[in-house]
Amino acid sequence: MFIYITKRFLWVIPTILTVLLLLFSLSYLLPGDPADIILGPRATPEMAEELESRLGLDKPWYQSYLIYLQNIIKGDLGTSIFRDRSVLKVILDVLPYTVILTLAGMGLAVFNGISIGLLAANYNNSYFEKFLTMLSFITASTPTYIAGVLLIVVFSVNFNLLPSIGIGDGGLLDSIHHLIGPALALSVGWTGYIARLTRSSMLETLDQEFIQTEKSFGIPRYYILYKYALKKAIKPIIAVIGLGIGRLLGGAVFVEVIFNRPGLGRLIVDSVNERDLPLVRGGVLVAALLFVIANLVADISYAYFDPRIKQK
Amino acid sequence: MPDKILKINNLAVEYRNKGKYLRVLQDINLELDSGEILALVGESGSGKSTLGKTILRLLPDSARIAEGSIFFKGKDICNLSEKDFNDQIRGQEMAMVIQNPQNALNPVFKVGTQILDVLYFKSKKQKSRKELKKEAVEILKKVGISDPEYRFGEYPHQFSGGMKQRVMLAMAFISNPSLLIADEPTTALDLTVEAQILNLLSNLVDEYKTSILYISHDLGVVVGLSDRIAVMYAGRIVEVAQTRELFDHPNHPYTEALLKCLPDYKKTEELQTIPGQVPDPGNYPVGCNFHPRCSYSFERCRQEDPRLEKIASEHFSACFLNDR
Repeated sequence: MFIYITKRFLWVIPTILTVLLLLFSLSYLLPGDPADIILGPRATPEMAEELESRLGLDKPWYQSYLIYLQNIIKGDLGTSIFRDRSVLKVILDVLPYTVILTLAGMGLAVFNGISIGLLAANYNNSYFEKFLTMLSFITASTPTYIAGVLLIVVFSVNFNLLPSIGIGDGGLLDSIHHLIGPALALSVGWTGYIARLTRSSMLETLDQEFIQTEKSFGIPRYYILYKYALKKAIKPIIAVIGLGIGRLLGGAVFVEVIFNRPGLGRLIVDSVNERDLPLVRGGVLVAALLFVIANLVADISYAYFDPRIKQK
Repeated sequence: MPDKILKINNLAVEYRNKGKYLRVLQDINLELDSGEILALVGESGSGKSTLGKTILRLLPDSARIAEGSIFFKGKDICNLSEKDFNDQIRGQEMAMVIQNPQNALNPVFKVGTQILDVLYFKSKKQKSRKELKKEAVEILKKVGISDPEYRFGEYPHQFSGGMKQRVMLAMAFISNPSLLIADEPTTALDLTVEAQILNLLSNLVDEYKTSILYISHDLGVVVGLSDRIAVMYAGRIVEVAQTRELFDHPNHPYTEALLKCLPDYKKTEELQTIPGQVPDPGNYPVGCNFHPRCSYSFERCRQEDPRLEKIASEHFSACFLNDR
């Protein structure tokens, strides 16, 4: 188990290096001269030169890549061009909002999805199951931004139950109150996806011979369903949760814009619009890190659910 | 005459397929004395596993009992509710060991956990799992698993096929059942391991006085084990007799053909086969199900269903040749 986790950790390094290379090449791949775009047509050559040296664009690319790497190892992501603050600080200010939103969205999606999927598997071939299947199809195919707008229209405008913008005054209850709508909007797509996955994985597991054995030895149905079958069936769901975190981070951009919340997604969008290159690089790097960590956690928990992986 | 532990009367089982019901079992009549080992023999697709699963109600929802009844210790178990059946029969009076040990244990739970759960529900949740552990270790020792305390905490993939089948037998006999349905328990194993498991099985039967319905496609395996043999073909029982009697005086042409298919290591002549295949349910021929493959068939075989009839003491056969 220890070896498995260590190996899995070591794989993170090349992944991150590749991400860094891609981010670094952004400044070369973007059309036009970065300094001109940022400073506008009325900039003097001196100003352009000064900015280029700040961005490290005056040196050969491999040298500036090494400088870039060095700085990142030191924890220096550069300075935001327009905010005049360290990129790391700017990101850390908004990161907690995104992390909480994503975790809340995932939590809702996992809980609701598995519940719906289990019900559907338990009542397989009934009208109730057909209703649940349809429900999961509808939610799985609803984009986050439509879900968000619908939630605002129904719960904020019509019923006045949930706030439509902002993050609240900082109190815990108020924060949660402001989180419900965005988290629901974010979770909708994955709820349906996880529900369908749970249902098919459960049905497949229930079809296996060991379930018949357990049944023939007199183990009651509820016990087989919720202990024996569920632990086996939950494996593919754990695997997609890792992927899902990445997708939800993407979805968080829409949710943060629609519900007017601060967050990493919105920061990246804003910085792209402003052509704030260091901030774009820093933001995407942190997002990539979150994605990699989520996958790492998913893989390790996967091993917990399948003892055979631990040995490999 | 000893008590009948199991009595099956005119049983017919159907599967729903595209809105129609297909008969997979027809006219099954079978009795099992207590302490008796009855072998159920036939080719793949003859319905022998279906019969075993019907008795333990393990068939999928698409199957139903169309006719007939199953009496267990004089009680009609077809009328029990699902809950009563689970509480009173499965794991209490009957258990089943299935063919493929590779897939018979849940891969994501420790072997010990799985054994303890069987014991726990057998005790009707009266005893704690801690108390039961001693019993579990005891039975693992009995089925020949060395160092059971340690093995208790291992996962099924750390066991060999033979070991898994031993665990299965332990789990089956833990509940001290009156009837064990063994669905080809040694088919997936090596020859030497197969012999060990068969040995273990007969020791356990002697100790626990359990009746066994032993389902197998291999007459060579059941000859040393069973008291009687029932031969199945295409969803029907075609012949029932004492093991010795069946080998010495096979009556039904199908039994005769099966016996000819048994390899004899002393002879080097080519192996016999039965031409053709077992028909699928829904494609059963009119008349005797075996007539298209039977070398003795005549006009009547193509028109009427033969019924199982007594031809000698404790020897039953379903063939029109006996009427000629």
